[in-house]
Amino acid sequence: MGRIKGDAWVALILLAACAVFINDLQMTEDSGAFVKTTTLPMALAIALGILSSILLAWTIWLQIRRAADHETLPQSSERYAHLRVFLLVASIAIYITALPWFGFLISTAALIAGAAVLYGNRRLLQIVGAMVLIPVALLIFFEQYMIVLLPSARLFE
Amino acid sequence: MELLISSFQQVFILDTLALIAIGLIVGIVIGAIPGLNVPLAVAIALPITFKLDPIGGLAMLVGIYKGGTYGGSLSAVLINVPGTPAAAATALDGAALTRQGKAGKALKMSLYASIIGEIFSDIALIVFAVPVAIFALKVGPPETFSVGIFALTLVGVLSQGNILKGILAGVLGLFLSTFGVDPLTGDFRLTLGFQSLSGGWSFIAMVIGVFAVSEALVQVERRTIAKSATGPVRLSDPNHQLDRDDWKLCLPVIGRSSTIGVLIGAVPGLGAAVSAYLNYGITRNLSKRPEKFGLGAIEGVAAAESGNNAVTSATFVPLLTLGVPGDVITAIMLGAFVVHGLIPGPGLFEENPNFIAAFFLLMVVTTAFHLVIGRLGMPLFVQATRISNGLMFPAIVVLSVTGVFVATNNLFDVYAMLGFGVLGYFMIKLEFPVAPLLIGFILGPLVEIGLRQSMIMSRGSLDIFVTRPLSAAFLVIALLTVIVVGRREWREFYKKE
Repeated sequence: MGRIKGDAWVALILLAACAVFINDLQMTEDSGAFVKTTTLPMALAIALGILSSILLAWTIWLQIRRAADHETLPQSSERYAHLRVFLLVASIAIYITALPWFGFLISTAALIAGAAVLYGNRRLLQIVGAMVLIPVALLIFFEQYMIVLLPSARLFE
Repeated sequence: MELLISSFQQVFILDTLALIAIGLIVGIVIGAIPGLNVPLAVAIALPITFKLDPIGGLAMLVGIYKGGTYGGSLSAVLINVPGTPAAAATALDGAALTRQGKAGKALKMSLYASIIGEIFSDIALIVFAVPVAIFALKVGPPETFSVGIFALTLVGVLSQGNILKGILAGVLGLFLSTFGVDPLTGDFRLTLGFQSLSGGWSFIAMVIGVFAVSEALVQVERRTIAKSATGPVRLSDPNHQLDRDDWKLCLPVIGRSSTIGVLIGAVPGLGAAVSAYLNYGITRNLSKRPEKFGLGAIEGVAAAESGNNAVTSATFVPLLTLGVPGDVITAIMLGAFVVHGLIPGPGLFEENPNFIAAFFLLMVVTTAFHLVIGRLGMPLFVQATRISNGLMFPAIVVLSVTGVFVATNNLFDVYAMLGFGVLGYFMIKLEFPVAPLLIGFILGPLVEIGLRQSMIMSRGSLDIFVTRPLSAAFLVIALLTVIVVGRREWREFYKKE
């Protein structure tokens, strides 16, 4: 039958999530007339579980039917593509965490440089220009015109 | 008369007019860059509009919507890469005209056809919104529930991808909307121990995550470098001018496509891409020279562009009158209405007639600005197809994070945005439609309140949904749609296998 395909993974993850949510809902205090606080979420979680089971069964059935079509391992270029996605997600997560510590200007400049390289931009002048212009323009726009404070560098205070 | 004066006072002020112009320019540029799309632009601009007055904020979003829907045609014509899904139909003949050295002809027809389509759509909104709202005032909670289910089913079933995935995405969206505080009793549910979840998932975090961050992830994976136009287009050359024969061929096509586009826009779940393809197909089938299509038929460009822009204002008919967004973009824009305390639905017409009148005027003024800015700026907008993704997407990632932070002032929501971005990325990769997820999330409270109020009215009996004719009709149409589309999909699958 080969490896489990993407849709089946989605169905399995959704089924696991449904189990967690149903458990959480069962422990929630209920109130309301006829349709209670947890009735609709519970019904939707069950519906999600049923739909995920159908998707899982359907994907496995399709896989068995098409067993003759041998699955090929991802090419190295595709593996690098997945790595780029992972690196971008990690960069954004680090950026969000760094914002309150290093402040908006420094964190943003660093993210722009990293992201530009991940997108294949190798023009140093363009990257440096973007590292300076984008954070400064956004800071001025939000703090001067929209009157919203962006995170300042707690680490240097 | 009083309404007219008040709406003029709201729209014809420098700030609003400037915001319309900015929205149009941003929309056209974003639409013209392959890889960027209109929902992404509207999502990123949404937090900025929270700080503006309601008409000013909506002016910018409407500008982006109308400009972006047209902007996709620029790259479709010049480099045969549609900037938006709807512009793919334009590329069929637009790119062929460019290869013949008639790019200007295609670009001009694309603009004028878009504008005529928008005029049809604006008129339809103004003419039909009020009667539909008067009718909608008579509906009660059971009908509200059924309309919500009907809209969600249509969006789920008719979106791209298969029916099972569409419905699954819609149910997931509905489920995500139930996190946090119960809208009727005030009790908490599904907070999973996080205090930040007591208000539920942030709408802005979801919108920006699913539409902007996910697109950034898809593009970093593909890392495609946009093709540049082969050379500068001199729009003043005779080859690039539209002549009388072109107009003779195109005017009837534009009229028909605009009418069909308006009807498609008013039905939740269909949208601009369906309208563009359908109108292109109808025009080719009815044409006296079908063999020219795909080889540079100017009426092909006119059909696709008038069809896709004719949906823009029409999608506001279900949003303003029933509170049901017709497509992803109006679903995102619903956030701008709600933040300003304007809850779309029949009540809005009763309580805020000044706003409704100003909004109608805003749509018309935006169309007029679109013509002027689109025509004067055409030589500059065509340059947008040369902007590299390596610069645009880092800026989009930063704007996404900043936008959510500015709107919510909460880092939990920014992390949630990243989570929704990853969810959106996998949905795109595995061909799950994203529109039902967002529309389910938005319709969740409407559906839940409708359901619970109906159950109180009927003292716990579900019969109320089928004994009231309008409610029953919506549910039957929803069920029929599932059966018809499901059967068609099954047949197609059976043929393929």
